[in-house]
Amino acid sequence: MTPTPLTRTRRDGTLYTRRPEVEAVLGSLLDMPREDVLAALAVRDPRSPTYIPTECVVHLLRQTRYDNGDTYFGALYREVMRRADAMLPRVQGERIGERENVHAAAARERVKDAIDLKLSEDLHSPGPGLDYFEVMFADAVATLRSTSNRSFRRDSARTQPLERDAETNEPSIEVERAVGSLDVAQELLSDDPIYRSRVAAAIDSLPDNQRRVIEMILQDMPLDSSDDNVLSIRKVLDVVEKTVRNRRDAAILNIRETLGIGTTDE
Amino acid sequence: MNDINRFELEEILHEFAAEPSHDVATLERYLRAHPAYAESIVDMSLELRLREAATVASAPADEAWLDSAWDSFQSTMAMAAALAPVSDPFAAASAKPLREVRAGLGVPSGVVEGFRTRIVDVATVPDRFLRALAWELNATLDGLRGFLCGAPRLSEGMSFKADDAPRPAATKISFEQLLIDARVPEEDRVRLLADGD
Repeated sequence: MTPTPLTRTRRDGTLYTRRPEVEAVLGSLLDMPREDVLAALAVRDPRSPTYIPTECVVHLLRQTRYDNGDTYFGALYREVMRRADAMLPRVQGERIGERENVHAAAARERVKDAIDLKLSEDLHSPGPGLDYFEVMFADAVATLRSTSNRSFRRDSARTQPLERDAETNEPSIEVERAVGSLDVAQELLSDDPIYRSRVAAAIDSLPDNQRRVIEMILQDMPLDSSDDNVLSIRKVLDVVEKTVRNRRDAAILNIRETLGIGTTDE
Repeated sequence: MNDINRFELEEILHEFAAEPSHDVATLERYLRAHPAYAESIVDMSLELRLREAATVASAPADEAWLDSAWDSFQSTMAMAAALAPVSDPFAAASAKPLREVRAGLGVPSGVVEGFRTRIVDVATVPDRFLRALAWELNATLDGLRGFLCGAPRLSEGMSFKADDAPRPAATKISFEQLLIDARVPEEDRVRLLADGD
């Protein structure tokens, strides 16, 4: 059976389409009895040749609007959520009460709620709302996480530690040393996946204004530039250069503290 | 942020996410094109970076969380279904013309009419046929079931000539009886009454 085409369009009017490999797998899945589909979902290793792309699972889930028998629907729903969970920053069991994990757990709940809302809308009145999830599931989850976090981050930012008055505070010598000795880009490339995910969670739990400076530094954008053609961090954020530096320093101190690295004096 | 801007922002972020590369050139292009959304675009760029850093870590699935997510979704759906008014899938704007529904199901018009007037007892209809009818009507299975549970009603678009005002049927009939009344040949009846996937 040929899967129904997507209906979501880009702003330039072109239609979003599924990737060819997703279309191909979907074509055969739609002809399979449900027991076989459920058996195929038991393959959990994304590297396996028989692993079903998540985009396909989303399509099958949407199709259940014509018959959402609990067992089949429940299995598909859980599989979609299981894979969404795997794409989010980890909630590490042994550090469950730590700040970055509280943050990760709250973010996961908001992503779940956002998917639930889109799914129940889609089941009740079919529309293009979930089409993005059939194009590239991981990207759609990342977008959802990014948009659903906005208001939450604003509310929670003032409770974060080491939030200094960015306009007036001069960084101390200790701060300068600590900043100089932590290369965030390198930390994110650590060979240890658990450590790497902790670095990611630490960055993610930063206040908005610090986190954005870190991302632009990681993109090698200059803090400031006298050349009008160069897009600097200062220009994007529309602040003075001193503020950019202060935010960067505060961010790195926060990351160090979250990771329990301490300063160079310790 | 109002809803329209939010919708536009989501579109921009989805397009950004779908870019083949998220290097500084791509980031700058989006920042220059949408300065009003600069902060959200930077957030998205970091989101994609952190995902790459974090997803390689393999951790066992959090089954307890999945259980609670499923429970909460089920109760949300049950509540939504209970609160939703029962709508007429035959009158919905998305419904096909009845002749197409009839052709899609391979039954005479009397059978479709039996569903439209709710004279058929939904409990006697095989799931497979109900699913096919929901599909043809572009309705949900639950929505169709909810509609069919209502009392029989008069057929629309027919004229009556009688001394008394026309009244809908007082009792419902079985699906099999409906097929017989609509003169469906026996071999077709057997096929339509069969259940299963």
